[in-house]
Amino acid sequence: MARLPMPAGVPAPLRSYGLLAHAPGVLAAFMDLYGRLWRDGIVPQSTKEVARLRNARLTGCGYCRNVRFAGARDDGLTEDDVALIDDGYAGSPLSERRKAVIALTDVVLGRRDLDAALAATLHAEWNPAELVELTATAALCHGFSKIAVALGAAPADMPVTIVPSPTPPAAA
Amino acid sequence: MTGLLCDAGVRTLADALALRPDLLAGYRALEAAVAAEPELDGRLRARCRARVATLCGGTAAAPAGTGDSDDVVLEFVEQLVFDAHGMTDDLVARLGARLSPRAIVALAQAVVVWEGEHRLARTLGVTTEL
Repeated sequence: MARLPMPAGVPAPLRSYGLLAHAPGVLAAFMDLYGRLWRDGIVPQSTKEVARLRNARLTGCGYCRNVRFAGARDDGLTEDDVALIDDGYAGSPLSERRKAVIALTDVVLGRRDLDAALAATLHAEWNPAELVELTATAALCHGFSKIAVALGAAPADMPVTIVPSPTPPAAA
Repeated sequence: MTGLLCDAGVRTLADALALRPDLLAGYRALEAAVAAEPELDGRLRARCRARVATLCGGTAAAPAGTGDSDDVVLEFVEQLVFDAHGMTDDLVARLGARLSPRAIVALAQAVVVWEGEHRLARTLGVTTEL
């Protein structure tokens, strides 16, 4: 249950963001950054989706956990893959690259330390610019999830739903 | 300092994000939008930002408070940083007596962005200077 009233008179590109549209300037800037991260990224959407969904599971956001970005789905991330992004991921059939994304997300969320072995694995898989993008993905998704939870804007659960991958509001 | 980029000659978050210039521009635009938010005054914004920095293990100079009226705001900041699931209707209602819905949402967005910058900087092994 939302803890604030829904805003009125919201500009069309921001209407679907619910409570967040109370502060349209900040929301537009956030969605511009988030949209560029997804639309213009140098890391494949399926890779970033692993980080997003790992955060969603750890943060416990019912919306983020059940939404799937279409670009990641088109890029080859299946529901079978998604089901493996849980606490037993290390021993799962997920690729080593996807396991490394999960471990990086856990570092960003403070669930594990960045040890030398993990750092070496990450550097073997991605260059510095890609690591910046992946780390920013985890940090931004974490923030989005926390707001949804804290303001009561996320349902406790919902069906798995495929939505378009984010784009900057002006291009939506 | 340890982190993913600490051996790459990268010192600040700005240096790191410069590897992805559109992301650096986006973060700076987001910071500017928070600073321009009309219902979140600069003194309170600075005080909340300093609290986030402290909660994330950093340090920051905080402007003087104005007594009890800031307490509920800082309580909200701490709850959001430490345990979003522990947020209560009561706390948001008490905050609503101090801030408008617009200011509450802007503050929440600002807090998670600042916290995210700390998480990003810590993971990459750089300072939060943006």
